[in-house]
Amino acid sequence: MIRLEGIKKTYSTGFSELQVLKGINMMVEQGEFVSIMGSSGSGKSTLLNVLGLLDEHDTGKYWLADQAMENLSARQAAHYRNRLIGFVFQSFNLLSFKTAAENVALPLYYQKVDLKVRHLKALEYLERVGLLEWADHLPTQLSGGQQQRVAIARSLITQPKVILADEPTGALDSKTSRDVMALFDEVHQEGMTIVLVTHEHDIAARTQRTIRLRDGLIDETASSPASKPEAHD
Amino acid sequence: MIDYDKWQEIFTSIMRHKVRTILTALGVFWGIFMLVILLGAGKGLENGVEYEFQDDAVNSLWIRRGVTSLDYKGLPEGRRIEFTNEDYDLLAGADPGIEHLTGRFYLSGDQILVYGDKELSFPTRGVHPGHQFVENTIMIRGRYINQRDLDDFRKVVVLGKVARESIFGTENPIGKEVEIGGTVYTVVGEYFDNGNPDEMRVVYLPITTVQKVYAGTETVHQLMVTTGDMSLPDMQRLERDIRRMLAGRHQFALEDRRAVWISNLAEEYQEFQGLFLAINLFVWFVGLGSIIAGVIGVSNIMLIVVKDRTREIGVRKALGATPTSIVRMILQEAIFITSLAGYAGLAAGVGVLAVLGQMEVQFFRHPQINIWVGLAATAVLILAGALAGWLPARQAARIHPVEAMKAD
Repeated sequence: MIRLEGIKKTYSTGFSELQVLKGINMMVEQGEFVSIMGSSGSGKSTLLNVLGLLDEHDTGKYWLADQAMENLSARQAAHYRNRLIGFVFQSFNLLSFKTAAENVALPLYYQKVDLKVRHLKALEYLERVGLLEWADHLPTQLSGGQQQRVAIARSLITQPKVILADEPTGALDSKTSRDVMALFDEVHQEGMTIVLVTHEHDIAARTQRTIRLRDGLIDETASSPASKPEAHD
Repeated sequence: MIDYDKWQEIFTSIMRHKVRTILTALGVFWGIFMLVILLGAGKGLENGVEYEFQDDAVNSLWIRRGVTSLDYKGLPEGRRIEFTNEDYDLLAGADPGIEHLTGRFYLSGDQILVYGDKELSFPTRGVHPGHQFVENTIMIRGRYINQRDLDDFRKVVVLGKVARESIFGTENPIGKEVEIGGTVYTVVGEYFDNGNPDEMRVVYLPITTVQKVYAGTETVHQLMVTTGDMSLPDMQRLERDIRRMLAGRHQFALEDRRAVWISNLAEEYQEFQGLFLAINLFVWFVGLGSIIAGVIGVSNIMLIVVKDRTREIGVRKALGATPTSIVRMILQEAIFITSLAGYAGLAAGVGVLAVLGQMEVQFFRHPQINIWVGLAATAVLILAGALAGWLPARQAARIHPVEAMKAD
């Protein structure tokens, strides 16, 4: 599903240059639930941004769902983000002026899906995360856990190839974190490929495999070996 | 083609960000509103003054008697100058450019006018036929004083509309007889006059009749000439000629301005025209100032709006919005709000002008603006708002979604 070969990324800040990714090689199979761990500064956020087409890598090769992500225009990147990737962020990133249902429906707006169809689908996905009754509430009227579930519903609505979650439990208490992870488990059970960035060991432990980053490289000794995905159908 | 879905998205954003919307709208609304009021008021002032001038012919010289202030050829100062019919005749042959000429005789005190059981008092003047043109008098019915009235010393009278209403009410006054100061006159005409309604209380009689009946002299109190389409320099030359002729006849120094007063209405009108130019310049200066203030206000708010929406822009980008679609969304919202606000400002301004136009104030009439000026000003503000939104929006749409989402 995801294949990276020699991905390098350097940030220039004024006069100094900082190489954040120094040649990442990794594979994520279809249906895998993978966590990426690393201390701050290890490059895990940058890696996630590259994976999510939110940032461009300098050199190296990146295949997502068998398509090479090379020299993408802004328009193409937006298209792939919309079709192939579902994002879940630490800070939820729901639009505060839109209701839960409108937030969930937003990715479909960019697919030019009809308003009514969009709304029905949003309700369907809200039901799936157990928040159907909250469809007309604004994010501020929801708890953190509920907001993150809305965000997960939003990431799923386009039926993407892969879910990229950036510290999805970082802003939640441990009980709510467990609920959210249970939801990820459920989604994974249905066959979704999930890549989750975290710095919490107990969260990483709930995934099938952990990729550890250190100083812009994958720490092979600390990472669990690439496993064959379990069949889930 | 109207993209219903896109507008739905924009309306949602507008409706749920009321403060932001109102602040943006207010800048534009106020700028346009003030401009309309200013331009309208300036125009109203101009119309008002022009209306006052309609009362009298603009191209006219008004010649009044005075008292000498200089010794001249052994004659002492302090001598009262008096006009007679001879002065009228003198002016009649003075210049071919003179279009109409009249003398005026003021009956001292208001003469009691008696009709039936009514006794009323009106300002009463003896005049020549040319007076009609000097005063821009418009006949409603009947006729004005004519030369034969003067030649035959006829006892005829022309009434102003206001005077006629008080005397006759709805009755037709023509042919009726009224008594003025003990002498009976036949009403031959009724007139209308622009300007102050008090002008229509004046009662006009043939000047020769007045001289004979009430004065027993050939005295003329005042002389007026109209000069048709004569240019201002020509009028000034005519004014000097007349002064020279009168100085010769009445023996006063040419430089003695107090012996005879000559006022040049064209000159005064010209001065008002100059004043209008100044007022117009001022109005435009302030108006442009308010537009610039509006532009700055709208631009500022657009900068804040885009900053405010940076996070939203990041989220939308992550969810698959293209940079172009984001810029377009922000611009459409801005243009929609500014257009609506501009239109509202225009409408409100014109509304206020309409109310002001109802008021009866001297030197202020029919305030109005050129609607194209209003529309152009609105367009400027919309463009400014769009440009002010476009630059930061483009910037915001370019930054990486991750950074945008970190923004607060």
